[in-house]
Amino acid sequence: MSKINPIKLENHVISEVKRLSPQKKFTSTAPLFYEGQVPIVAYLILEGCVQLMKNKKIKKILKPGSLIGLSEMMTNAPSKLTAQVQADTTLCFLDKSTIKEIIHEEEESDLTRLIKEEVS
Amino acid sequence: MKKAANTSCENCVSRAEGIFCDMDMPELDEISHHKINNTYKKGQTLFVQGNHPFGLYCISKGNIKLTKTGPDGKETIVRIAHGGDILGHRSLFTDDNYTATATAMEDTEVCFIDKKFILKVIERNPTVALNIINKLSRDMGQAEKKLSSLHQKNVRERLAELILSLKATHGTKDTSGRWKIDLKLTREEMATMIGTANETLIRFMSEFKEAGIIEQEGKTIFITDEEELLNWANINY
Repeated sequence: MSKINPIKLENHVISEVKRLSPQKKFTSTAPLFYEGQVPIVAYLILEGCVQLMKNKKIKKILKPGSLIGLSEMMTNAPSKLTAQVQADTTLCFLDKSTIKEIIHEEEESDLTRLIKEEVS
Repeated sequence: MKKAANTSCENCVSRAEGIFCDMDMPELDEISHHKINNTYKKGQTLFVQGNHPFGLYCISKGNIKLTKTGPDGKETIVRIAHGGDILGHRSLFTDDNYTATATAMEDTEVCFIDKKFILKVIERNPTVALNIINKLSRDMGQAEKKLSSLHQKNVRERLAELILSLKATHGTKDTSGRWKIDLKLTREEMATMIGTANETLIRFMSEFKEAGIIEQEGKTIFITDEEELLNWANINY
């Protein structure tokens, strides 16, 4: 199982992700994925925070600029931790199809390089 | 990193009732490679009312309750989905946020397919679109039936109708010929499903048991006299 290592993105990569994927604000606390599960999309925190938990105990609080779930989603690796988004948090979502599109269509971008590094 | 075992669509236990039932290899194989397969434990949520939809959930095994929370905070079960059912299909076409919360009622196996991929599959395989339309039509029929039932029937009739509809979707015949509904719904959940108070539901459940129409072992319901239950439901099948 994967420990979930968040990737800290630089500002120009964050702008790239924002251009390619929808942004949504969560008005209440909601689970993103549970321990033992493969994340269904990768999440980039734009505002607010996401808690990583194990056995209901908070292990890490992720802040804006962190991308989670990318390598787990692409390699089908279950997470060791539960991720829970807090109220008033804005996230960007990257699904498998969008990731594949980015790799094929934006070969030279920093985002593609980052994805390839994470997935390989 | 340890990879999760991705159950193939070809070997899915609910394939015959699912939207990909008419598809063959290699298209089915393509979906198997793209989808994300997860197990949700009892009480874990797949998605929350008001949140952004990402794609389609196909239930392989288990039951999922869809609940709506009203302004007063009260939860109502609007539907119970089972193996072969899909969730999130309305949001595929409307882009609206989820209108209900989906929670696993037991350990449930669910596959997720993102929106872009499923739309491509639909473009190439119109039968998948027809199967989704079929599911949407059934959902709509059920919703209309429920609405008219709430307006036109009394609590006794609504309870009888609920037990019959649970039998149709989740019932299995046991060795003694009774219909077993092993959904483990709480009294509160059943009460919200027919729009009545908890106490009223308990009273009518006792009446059904005294009349020899149903039996109960814990939360499991057994239908012992289906014909009489149909009479009490005031419907003609």
